[in-house]
Amino acid sequence: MTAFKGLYIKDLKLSFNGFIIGLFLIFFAMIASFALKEYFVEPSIPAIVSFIIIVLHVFYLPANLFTSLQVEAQSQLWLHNPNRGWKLFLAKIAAGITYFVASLIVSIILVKVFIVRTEYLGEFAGLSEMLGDNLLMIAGGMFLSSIYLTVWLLFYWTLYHALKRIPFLNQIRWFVLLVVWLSITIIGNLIKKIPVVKNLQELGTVNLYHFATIFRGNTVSPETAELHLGSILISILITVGVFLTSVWILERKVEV
Amino acid sequence: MISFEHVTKKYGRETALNDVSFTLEKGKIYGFLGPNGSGKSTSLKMMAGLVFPTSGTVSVNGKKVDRKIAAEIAYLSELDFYYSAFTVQDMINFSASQVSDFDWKKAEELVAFMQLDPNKKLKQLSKGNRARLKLVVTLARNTPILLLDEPFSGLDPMVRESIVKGLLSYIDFANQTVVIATHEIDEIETLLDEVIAIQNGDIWAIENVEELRETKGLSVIEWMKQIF
Repeated sequence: MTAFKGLYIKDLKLSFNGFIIGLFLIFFAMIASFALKEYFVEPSIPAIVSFIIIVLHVFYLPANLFTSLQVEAQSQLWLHNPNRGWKLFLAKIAAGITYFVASLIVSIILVKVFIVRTEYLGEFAGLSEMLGDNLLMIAGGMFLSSIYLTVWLLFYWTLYHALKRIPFLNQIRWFVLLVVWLSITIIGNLIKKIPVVKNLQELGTVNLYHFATIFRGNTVSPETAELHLGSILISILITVGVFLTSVWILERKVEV
Repeated sequence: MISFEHVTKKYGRETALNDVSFTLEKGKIYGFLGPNGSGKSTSLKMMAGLVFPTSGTVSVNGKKVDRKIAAEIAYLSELDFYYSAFTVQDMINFSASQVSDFDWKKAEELVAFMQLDPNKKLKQLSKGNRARLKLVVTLARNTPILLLDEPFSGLDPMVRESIVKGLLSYIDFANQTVVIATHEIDEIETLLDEVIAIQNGDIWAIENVEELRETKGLSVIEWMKQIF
């Protein structure tokens, strides 16, 4: 068994209970939606709930990773390992993705059953058409957004634990994280205003015509259905940069 | 060879180690002795690359210690931490997958020696059996350095005895440097080549156990009573 496979299996086992709880919550939400449907005599409720479940999957991977990391944080003994930090982190992300995909598939099936097959959706009728044709695209978007959030979570998690080394900051670590988050947000917004960066972000525009057409009847404007390759490239660079920074902090600054 | 050169470790105003310098030689068994909070665990964690010095240098065989030293050092933690979803066999499989020096034959022998059930979940094991398992995965590695942090802490005499027997049977006395941090000396006195007395982050004395017995006529416990 390779080191990565060993880590991956370990992380699958660590997150298994969380996965089962997640599935239970999904089914519980669906059962509750049927109860509400009967109570309010509103046939669209299960469809809306199943759509919300899909949207909430954007937080699935960060939540999964956080619970797994918190198990390790009880001792941080997982750091007594000759394998590099990126391998430790990637194994956790891979295990999280496995459960994310499984949970998303369950949710997509629910959406297919409850939205696409629901005959009367009232004012949410657009959902049926949109989801019927673009479900995979939406799931892909969820996945990429989830990865992006996950990497930022890694960064703040490692920073939080690294701050433990600095006694005068130890008691105010949440506040320090808030300051760091605010600083990064402000600096990020300033950088976005630089013309060169702005131009970079708008490079390689791809119009998602089909997607846009579907939205046109609703409240979302066609412009939001544009995809900028420059923007994607910047996001990928940020993701890689934040991941490597997290690895560096984990290896050099987090103590047992 | 493990070397500490003017190593200081501070946690805010608290000093865990205070300008400590010493060298541990290959093929010897060292006892790090001292009361709770004396700096024993911090010293071992520094050797394992799990804690970093505030100042000074910790090196192993001339290399400055960092996380990668885990490839050369087997470390047994004082903590009773375990993955509750794991079975004994899962723990062994996982440990084996992470290092290249894991000796499967030795691990199987140790599991039998410690009378552990490979299929039992770790959360179902007693604290004593979890301590035995920690020793199994530590001793099953063929590393030049073995660090044992409080291996007997909170364990009953039967478990202590089995751990000492395990150490006697499975340590490679000629090639492994072993460092045992403990404040319970009874069990390991016969194992030790050298003792290092540490208190409040300072090294108080380093003695050869045989010389201590022959020249001063003292057991390690008697010697400790004199200096602490």
